[in-house]
Amino acid sequence: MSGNTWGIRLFPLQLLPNYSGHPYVAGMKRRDALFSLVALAACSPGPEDDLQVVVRELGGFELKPGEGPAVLASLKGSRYTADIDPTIQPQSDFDPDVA
Amino acid sequence: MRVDPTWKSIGELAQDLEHRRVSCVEIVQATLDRTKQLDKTLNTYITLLADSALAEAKGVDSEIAKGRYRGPLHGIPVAIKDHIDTAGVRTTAGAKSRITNIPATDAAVVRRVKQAGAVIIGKANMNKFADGESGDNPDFGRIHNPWNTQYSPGGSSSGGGAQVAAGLVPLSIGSDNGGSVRIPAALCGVVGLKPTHGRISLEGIFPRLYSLDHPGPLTRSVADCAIALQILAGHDAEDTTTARRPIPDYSADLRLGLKQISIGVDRKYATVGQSHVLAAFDAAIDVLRRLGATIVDVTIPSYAEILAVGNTIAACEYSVAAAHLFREHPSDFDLAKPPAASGADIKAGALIPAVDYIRATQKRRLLQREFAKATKSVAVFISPTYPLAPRPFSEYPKPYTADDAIRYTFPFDLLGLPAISVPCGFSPDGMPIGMQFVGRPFDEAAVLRAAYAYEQATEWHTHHPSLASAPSAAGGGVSASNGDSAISQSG
Repeated sequence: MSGNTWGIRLFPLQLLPNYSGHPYVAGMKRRDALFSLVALAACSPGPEDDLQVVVRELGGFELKPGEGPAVLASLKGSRYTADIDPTIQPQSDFDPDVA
Repeated sequence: MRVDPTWKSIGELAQDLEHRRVSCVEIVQATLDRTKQLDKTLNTYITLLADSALAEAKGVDSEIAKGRYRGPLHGIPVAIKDHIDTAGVRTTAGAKSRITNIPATDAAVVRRVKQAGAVIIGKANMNKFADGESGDNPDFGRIHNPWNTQYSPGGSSSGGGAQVAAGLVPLSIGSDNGGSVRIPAALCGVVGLKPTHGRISLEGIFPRLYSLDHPGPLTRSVADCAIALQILAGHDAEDTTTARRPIPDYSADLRLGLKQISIGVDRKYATVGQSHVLAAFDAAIDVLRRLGATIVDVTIPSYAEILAVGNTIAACEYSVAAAHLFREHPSDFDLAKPPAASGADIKAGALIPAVDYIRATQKRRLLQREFAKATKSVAVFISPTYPLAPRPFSEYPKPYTADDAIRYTFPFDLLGLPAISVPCGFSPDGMPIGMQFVGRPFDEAAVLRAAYAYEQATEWHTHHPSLASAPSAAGGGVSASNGDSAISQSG
């Protein structure tokens, strides 16, 4: 993920008064953060462009114009987010003796 | 022609070949003649290997004449789905962009059937990239159902189902990751087996969904399916997911029957489908009961849970498997029709967090346990294979969503369990309907035994599409098997 995108993601955290959970962010002065905000705002991508960056960085693909909603809809239908007992071993092979 | 091979079983052809009542050249020539006659309409092949098949047939005859008969697949015509590597023969996965892909080596399943002496007739048409269940390939054309050429044969092993139903070959090898062997088997009125994951090697097969892909045979009878599995099953050092478990004699126990066998059915699960499909399934339950089986009500894990897990795993694995295809030929995905994956689906797959995938594989393990617990008291579980009888291409994907269309097949790809589809009736307009037997891991023998008992107690498998005996006709209908075929009539 590009540095600019991280900046966008982390900026709200940087503005929080007592935030210290992330060493990189915590190490920044709030004045620096404000300058970053102004700089980023000048070239801030829209939601579609933001997704473009994510798709490029994570998948190596270019997003076609207008394709964002289809990607997000597909993503929404392909995420398993239920809580699972963490002691369950992920299945890396089929277990024929399970019973 | 001393023997018309059109509707003969593998077992019958094997006897004829072993005892030299017919030559392999005669069988292969008849096969090629029939294919050339019918495939203009059916479009089941991407590549027909006429010259090499005849050359192989001569070699088979020479071997048998010298007393070197290899066994029941020796000299048997076989078709191979066109995403399974064949040395020196283009292997397209149903995409024209891969028409220059000529593998240097055979896939493991091809090596096995060749070692058994089978003759490869050609590469079967399929849904592009083995994705979808319509049989509608935008690059190589629609594959038509022999029972009615306006109707879909199902998919993605569409060519295989249509070939076997039309009497073009007695065995076609396909693959299944959502139902792609069993759905065309059901919609073409033939038998299709998806074995346990790890029973048959995936080496040399175009990867689509790594943990869901299963190679499997399509045949006209359960006994032929047992013969094919005997050859195809076994550990392969090139595929580390294959099991080292011993291979039983699948044909030996077929005739043991169903007395004192318990069969599970989940009445709530088997509620989605056309009324005539559900009625055929209910009638099949009655047949099984009359054969001596005890029908036990069971409750398997919910399809909604299975789907949520399966969709996550499938989306991630397909995004990995198809990424290079998409980068090289993005236009291959432009014509994607539901339920086939689009470029947007591949891009979305790359965004799924690894934690989701891991959670899904954890849940898959739990679902396997839940299914095993729910079916602990039964030898096999049964359901319809597909909620619909074959329908016109123009109706796809309606009336069901893709998820509903594969509700009876996809769970057993996800769980890796052996499952076979056999014919169990006809719709009011004469189109075939299938039912499915599912077994415990690596217990293909029980699945085959139960399916065989049902098959032998019914007559569904003895019917063949009228197109196959009247190639100029485009309509459907049922004709009884009597050996009268276009080949014997013309030649």
